[in-house]
Formats: sequence, C-alpha cells, structure tokens
Amino acid sequence: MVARTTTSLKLALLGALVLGAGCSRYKLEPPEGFVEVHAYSSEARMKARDNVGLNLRVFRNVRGGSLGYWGADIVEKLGQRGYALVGQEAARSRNGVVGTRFDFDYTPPNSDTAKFFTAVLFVTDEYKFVLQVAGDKVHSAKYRGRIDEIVGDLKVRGCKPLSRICKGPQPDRFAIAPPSPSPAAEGRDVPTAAANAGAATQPAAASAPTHDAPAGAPAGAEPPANGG
Amino acid sequence: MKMTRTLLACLALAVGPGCMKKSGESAAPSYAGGDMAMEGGNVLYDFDESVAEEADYGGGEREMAPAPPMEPEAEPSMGVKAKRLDDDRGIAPGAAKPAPAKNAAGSGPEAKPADEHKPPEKATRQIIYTAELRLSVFKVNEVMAEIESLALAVDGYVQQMREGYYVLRIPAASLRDVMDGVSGLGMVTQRSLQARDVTEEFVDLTTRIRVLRDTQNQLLELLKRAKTVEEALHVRQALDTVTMELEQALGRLRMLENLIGFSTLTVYVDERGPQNDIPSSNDPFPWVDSLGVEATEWN
Repeated sequence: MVARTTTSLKLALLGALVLGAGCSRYKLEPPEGFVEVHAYSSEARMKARDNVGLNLRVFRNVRGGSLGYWGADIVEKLGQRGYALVGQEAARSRNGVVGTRFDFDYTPPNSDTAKFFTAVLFVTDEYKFVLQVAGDKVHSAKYRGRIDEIVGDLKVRGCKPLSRICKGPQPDRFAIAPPSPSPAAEGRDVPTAAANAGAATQPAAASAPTHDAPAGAPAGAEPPANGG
Repeated sequence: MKMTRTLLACLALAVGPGCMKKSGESAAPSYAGGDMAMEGGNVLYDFDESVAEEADYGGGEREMAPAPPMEPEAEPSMGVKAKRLDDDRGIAPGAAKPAPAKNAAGSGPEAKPADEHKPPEKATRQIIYTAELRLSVFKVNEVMAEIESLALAVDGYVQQMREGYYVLRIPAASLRDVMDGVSGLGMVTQRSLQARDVTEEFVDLTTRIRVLRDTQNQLLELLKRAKTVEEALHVRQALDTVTMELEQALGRLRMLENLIGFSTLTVYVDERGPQNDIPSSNDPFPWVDSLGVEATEWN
C-alpha cells in the first residue's frame, strides 16, 4: 500500500514537472559571452560586452500563419525600414523545429554607424519566435558565425502533434542585396527585398506587384561576412 | 471759468463709460520722461505714439517677439479676407503706417459726434488662427532646423523652442503653406486648426480709439485756453484719464493685430523608432515594428 502511494506521488511529481516545463514557451540559456538582462514569458534580452544584443521575442500565432507568411512579412517590413537582406538560410532549433534565418545589413537614419542584424524566425501552431542578434557591423563576422550555435541551443514550444505549421516549407527565396557596390551606384533598379516578397506565394505578399524576383537567388546563400 | 467747468463735466461724461469699463485692468501709465512740460503757464503734452508703443499688453505670460512689419492687406490662408482697418483707424501698431495721432480720421476738434460713432464700412472678418501639428520623424534635430527655416522663409519667427517643440508665429497668409511644408518633413500623427473670430472686438476697439483720440484733442484745445492753474489742473486730470484709456485700447488693438496677422503654429516633433506605434497603417499585425537593431543592440 505504501509502495503504491509512493509510486503515485512520484508520477504526480513527474507529471507536474512535465507540465511545468510545458508552460514555458521557450528555453534559452545565455550563450557564452552573453549575460541575461531580463527574461519574461514573451521576451528575453541578453547582451555581450561589446554591446551586441540578443533578443528573443515571442508573439502569438494566428490560424494560417506559417513560416512562409511571416518570413515574407519580416523581410518586406524591415525592407521598408531600410534593412538590406544579405542572407537567408534554414535553421533548426534544439527541439527540431525548422525555422529561417535572415541576415540584414542596416544603417540607422540618424547614424553613420553600419549595423548587422540577424533574425531567426520559428513558427509553431501557437507562437512565432524571433531570435534577433544585432550590433555594430564590425562584430558581424564574430557573431553571425555563432548563430547556428545559439539557435541550436534554443527550444521553442507550441507545436501540435502532426502539425503542418511546424513542419511547413521554407519561405521562398528573397532577393539578396549585393554587398558592394550598392544597387544605386550600379545604376540599375534592383528590386528590393520588400518588393520581392511579392514573389512568394504567401497571402501577405500577394499584393506586391513585382513578380520578377530573381528566383535564382543562391540557395542557402551565405552572408558575406558570415565567417562560418 | 464756469464755461470751462461745464465743458469738463461734459467730457467726463463722455469718457466715463470707457474708464469704468477698463478700470483696474492695468496700472496707470507713468509720464516721467519729459512727456509733459510747463511753458509760460501753458501745459504742453506730448502724445507721441512711443507711449503706446511701449505699453504692456497685459498678457504677462506671453513671450512676444518684436512684431515684424505687417503687410497692409494681409489675407489669411483659410479663404477669409482679413482686411486691415488701418485707414479707418489711423493707427499703425506694426510701425508700418504713419504716426496715428497725426493721421487719425476725424480726430480734429471739429469732428462731429455722428461721424465718431459711424461703424467702419470696410470692416471684414478678423480671424485669429491657431494650429497644431505633431510629427513623427527619424532625425529630430535636422527636422527642427528645417521647421525653423520654413518659418523664417515666410517672415515668421520662433516664439518658443525646446527639444522637439516649437511655437512659431507665421504670417496668416502663409500658414497653410508652412503647415504643408512641415507636414512633408515627417509622418503627421496629429493636426488641428482653430479659427477665432474677433471682428466684433476689433471694430469696438477701433471705434473706441477714435472717440478717445477726439476727446484727447478737444482736451488739448481746452488746455490751451485755460486761464488759471486750477483750470489747467482740471483739464489735465481728464487728459490723464483719456490718455490712459487710449493707451490701453491701443495696446489691446496691437495685440489683436499681432494675433490676427501672425498665426500661431505649435509643432511637436517625436522621434520615430521601431517601438513607436505609427497610426498611419491599418496593418493588423504590426509585430515587425518591435523588431530591429534598435530593439536588440545595447548602446
């Protein structure tokens, strides 16, 4: 009788642990060189000594929201803000969810300091996760080379059994901005990443008029300063 | 002597209502500085316009910059003509017109009362415009400089300024152009325009000033005819009262003219960043607004 009770208690404890772990939307330990500034259920922020920041944001997903849809949304809207897409490739979380990594170059309007910005998007049935790493461009090689390592340590939740969202396809390839010289200097009208979002078959991009995106954008193109 | 007293009593009656109306509104003017002098028993009173020009408007909180000269035919931007009444009034607060005391219509001692109370026929709408704009911009400092340039280019001026905040005085005729120019410097998140019709007050003041000037001139004539010191003192008391009233009215009129001729445009400039909600889009998923370098790196 006593043994039976003990077993029940152990099972209950185990169940509570499993449930408790399941309540957390993500799990991310500070990568080496980063310290945690704060961590909430919807956001975690970390920083390195050279002021490179790591930010994980969690947003609720909606029905129909897929990796392709939200990937196009990110590229289009960041493109409107002056972010130049320089790389796009698949990523995989520690618990096997497939996402997409987008590397951007960016110079803020009120500054002459070039920045690097990498966003890794994961979409599950319940949430969408964006892991962002940003800082001065001079640090891009060092940190972009560690993105796979950082993402490989991230666990994201929200996948339903036999989910089509979590196992959905990668977004279409978006136009990669040439690193140098700039399109304007070459005197040709290179479609922006935002415009080329229209080439995707996602609903959000349907309104974009441009459909002549260079579909031959290098598959799995490495960002110029990736270093790894 | 008896006749003088009767005349004084009549004048006091004529001036009385005006004195009662505005009594206590401002301190009595100081005449120190050689405005008045005795010469051979006659009191000479200098009614130079400078007294009125230096008069306080009574609005202590206002930070008035020196009023630039105004065009005689200022046409407010909103399609309502605000024709100035300088010709009727014979005053020129903006110093663009000749000295008022000498050109005042009907200001001579022979002016008939019927003419004095005749309303100005050319009176058109006198409107004070007050506008506000709120901008969301990336480069606050650059935009602030451009806003100031826009105001100066149309002969406006800056009344107040601090970081992200301007109070501009813009010639009414250029208000719309300046608002359009400022709107083009960023994303407009708020815009308002108010118009206050002050035609009635304007016409009242104009008429009152004309009457006061006539009275002042009549008193001056009386002062010249005064035979004794007692008579002169009596006339001078009445003259002081009339002068004070006139200065108050002139000051108020000048302030009104400034407000009519120069619209007040308040501009708020907000720095725009990824965290700002820009209410210009009906995007149901503005989640990307919270992403980006600014939200990630540490400065």
